[in-house]
Amino acid sequence: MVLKGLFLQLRKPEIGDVPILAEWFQDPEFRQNLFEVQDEKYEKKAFDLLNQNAKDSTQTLALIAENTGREPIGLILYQNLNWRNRNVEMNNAIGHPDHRQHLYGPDLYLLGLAYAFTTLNLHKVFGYTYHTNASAKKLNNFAAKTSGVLPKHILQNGNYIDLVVFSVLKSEFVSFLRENRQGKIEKFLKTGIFEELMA
Amino acid sequence: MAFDHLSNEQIITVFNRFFCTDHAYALLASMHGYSLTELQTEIKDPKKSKHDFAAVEDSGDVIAAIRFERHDPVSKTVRVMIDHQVPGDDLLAAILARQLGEISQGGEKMRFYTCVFPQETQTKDMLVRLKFHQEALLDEHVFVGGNYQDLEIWGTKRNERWC
Repeated sequence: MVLKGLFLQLRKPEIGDVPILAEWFQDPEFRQNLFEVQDEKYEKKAFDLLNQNAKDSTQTLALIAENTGREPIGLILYQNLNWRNRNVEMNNAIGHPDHRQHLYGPDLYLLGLAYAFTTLNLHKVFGYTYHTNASAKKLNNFAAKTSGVLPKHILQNGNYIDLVVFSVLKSEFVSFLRENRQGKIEKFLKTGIFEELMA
Repeated sequence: MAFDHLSNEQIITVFNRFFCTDHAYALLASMHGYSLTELQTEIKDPKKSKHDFAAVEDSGDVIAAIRFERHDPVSKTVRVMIDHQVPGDDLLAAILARQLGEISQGGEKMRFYTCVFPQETQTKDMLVRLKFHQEALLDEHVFVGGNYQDLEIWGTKRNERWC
């Protein structure tokens, strides 16, 4: 399974990715995008993700995004995958801080949505973002809508902070692609990953 | 009262009324629902469960089931799931207020939240009385009866007090 975007491509993590995943998990800025990773057993967490990925019945699925040089750049984490409601909670994060300045963020995000709506054939993708995480909110506003705010829902560094709920339906995402085909996502569309959705 | 104080007959009543209906999603947040065996196992060994169940009894009849899920003990956030036969019932509202007050006692800044379907207007009226506010609308979030239905998230502010 390889899904190619503009700069990145998605694949399932391999055992050789465990050290870099553990390294990423140690970074608080990376972790704040992934609510699942809270404890300090980072290497074990990376192994857990691989084990969960090995089961087709899993409710959690992790995918690595690598650049054209095969360097791991970021992670897509699908949680609470619900086959009855056909929805999933999606989190994504760029690994190394240096890479967060590049254009990898939108590419990773759109790849995540493309995989959810085409490969997994889901109806809806939703997610939670800390109110304090400006870059994640900006990224989610790229294609999704704000569904609400859960006030002071999470304790982080001794403070209760708001959680912003984002979501996008498959039909809304297709409309977004069509409306912006000659605008901000024109380059992404040329990769062909959305052809199936826009047909 | 806690479920482990229910008689076998009452457990079967609770199961039939609240656990094997389309509406049960609100209570269980489960894709496939519960079997009676699963419910009985959970009642027998509540320590293994993340959930606390309570039944509301009126003159010997169980009129509601409430489930408290300690989803996030660090953040002191508790999900409340309510299913009831008599929506907006004063007895249920009073019992819920007491339960919320008891759980938050000694736990400063406790927060409760719950999910309801938009058409559950009487339940929402009761939530307003219990100091809940609507916080989010999850559109087309649950697949019930062949259709995607919206789900609303309602929650309380931290430091809320119940008499």
